[in-house]
Amino acid sequence: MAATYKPVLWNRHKRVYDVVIGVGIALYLAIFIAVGMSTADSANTSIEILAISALGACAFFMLHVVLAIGPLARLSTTFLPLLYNRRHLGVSLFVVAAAHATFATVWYHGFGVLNPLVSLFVSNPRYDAIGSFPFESLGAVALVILFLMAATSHDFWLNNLSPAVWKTLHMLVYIAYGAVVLHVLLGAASGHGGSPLYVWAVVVGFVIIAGLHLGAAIAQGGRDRAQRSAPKNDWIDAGPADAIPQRRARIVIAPSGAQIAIFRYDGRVSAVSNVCAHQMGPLGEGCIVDGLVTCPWHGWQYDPATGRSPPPYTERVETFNVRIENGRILVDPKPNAKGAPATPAAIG
Amino acid sequence: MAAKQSEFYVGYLAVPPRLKWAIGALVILLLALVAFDAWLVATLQPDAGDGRWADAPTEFRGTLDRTPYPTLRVATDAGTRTYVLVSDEKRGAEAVLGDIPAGASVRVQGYEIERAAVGMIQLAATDVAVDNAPAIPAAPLEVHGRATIDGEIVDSKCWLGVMRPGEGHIHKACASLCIRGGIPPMFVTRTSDGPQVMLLTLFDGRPVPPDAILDVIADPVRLSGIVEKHGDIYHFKVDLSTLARTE
Amino acid sequence: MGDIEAVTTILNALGLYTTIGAVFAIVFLAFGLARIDHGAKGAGFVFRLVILPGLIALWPVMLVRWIVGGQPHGG
Repeated sequence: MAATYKPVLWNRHKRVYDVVIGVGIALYLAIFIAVGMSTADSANTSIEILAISALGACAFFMLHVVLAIGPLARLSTTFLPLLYNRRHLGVSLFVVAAAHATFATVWYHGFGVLNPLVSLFVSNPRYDAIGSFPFESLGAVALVILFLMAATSHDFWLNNLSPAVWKTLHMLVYIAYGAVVLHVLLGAASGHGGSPLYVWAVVVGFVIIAGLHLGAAIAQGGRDRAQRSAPKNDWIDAGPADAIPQRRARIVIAPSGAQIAIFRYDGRVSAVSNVCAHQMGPLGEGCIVDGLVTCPWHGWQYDPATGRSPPPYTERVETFNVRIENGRILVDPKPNAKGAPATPAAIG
Repeated sequence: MAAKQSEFYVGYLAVPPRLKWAIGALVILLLALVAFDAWLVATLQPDAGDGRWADAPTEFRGTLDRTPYPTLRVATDAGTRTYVLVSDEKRGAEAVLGDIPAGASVRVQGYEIERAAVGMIQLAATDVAVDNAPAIPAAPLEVHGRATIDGEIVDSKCWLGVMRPGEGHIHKACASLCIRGGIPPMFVTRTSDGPQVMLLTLFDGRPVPPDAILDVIADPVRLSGIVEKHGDIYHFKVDLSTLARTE
Repeated sequence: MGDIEAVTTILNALGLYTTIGAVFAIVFLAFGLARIDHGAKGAGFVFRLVILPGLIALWPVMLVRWIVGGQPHGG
């Protein structure tokens, strides 16, 4: 949260997370190069070319992991710890991809009569062909997107670009993924010595990523339908208060489409917007920790009665008025201003 | 603190014990996937060929030829050997050889490159010593006749051993740069005995201008022309108007 | 070849954009940062290093924000 910016808000989990990333990358490169050097066909491969391939394959694998974490966390809360520090994985992915791109540019495009960067875009001139489209340019497009994402990964950018713009910018990862899939299919996976198995491996990766996103969307759609209340102008019946587990929330959707998270805690209920001010995480899937609504994504916190982050933080979300009649929660679909106190309703 | 929050994860708080096991299992699964993917993709790497590029320079003495591309005739126990000459990086040998005439006896320091029975020397120094050793006679010429052949235009230096693999469309940009830089183009065709490689020249025997072939380097192509054997090295003298992609 | 000229021109333009971005980033880090984002007051050298690549790449956005005098989100 934004009190004073720190380069990284280190804690034990992030350190463990980063160690796992480092071990994973080292393991990938070591196995790739060892296997490449001991396989009959590729044993005579220039070590530089093997390293370029290893870095590229490693970055492609990491991109799949990055893309899988979001939908996995929507499908099961067990995966939330992977989401918590995903930006470090994203920055590491950019570093590996940049190393791949740099070595490939120097090796294939350097030492010649053209500027290597010019060569990158003109040496393979078949922009009018589909099967032989210059895969280099597609890789460059993806790398630029990964750079923009890595460069804006700090919360400073979230605040200064606004969460909506920031989120849109980071949605470009799907464009990057598409470009990288084509980069691999038209590059390493095809042409001379290209194995059909390589194409299949890319296809399997794509099916997994697409399937996870589809599954998460279907699951979310089911939740939304169950939570959608009858369209009424007046207060929404949000069901019996006892049915909400202690310190947890039920999410209801107002006729306007606004998502409301109704928390039960200390014999009371309070309602706040379901949308976290940080990265629009689902507050209603979080819980009350130390008396504060805690976002499941990055642990940002709000007072359930005021929608305000505890000092020194300054984030605010909308609150909603609630009351209890005959043990059932009624919530006013009209939001209060961000950070406006709303009296919690006592459970009878 | 959140002692009772059985499974809820907050990054900056202690991990709930049950979740700890789940995360541990997840990390192990992920590292297993890392190992599997690295192994799988590594086994799918293309054939790198059996090209060779010497680590250290050696001395060669022989008779210089300048057409169609710079070559050196060297006398060996097995007869006359023809080495294609190139410079360092992605450059041909023309600049280094300057105006030393064809037929001159020279001594050069260079790194030997070899594949598919074709030899090449990457000149190590910019000075080529001319001596007056007796010239090695040109090898006999055999004309093998007209042919239409499917294959790939490569740059000789990478394909013969500097880049392994040095063919195919991943290497296309590099091959284009090399040929732009004066490295002689070669034509590689697949046979049941492995790859066959020939120096590519125009129909009249002159060197191929790079601009005429840049677009199709590394693509599968078909070419018609005359195949000749100059001593131990084949020349493919082609009619560029017959050049066509076959993919 | 026309392609080479076109690509060279684009790369030169990118180089110019990046150079302006680098100059802007230094000036912005020295004078503008704390003014547009209170959260950045007292932030250290490493934090400035972390946001530097983004400033170089997105300098027109931050220049507009500096001129308009943007306040930090939620602050």
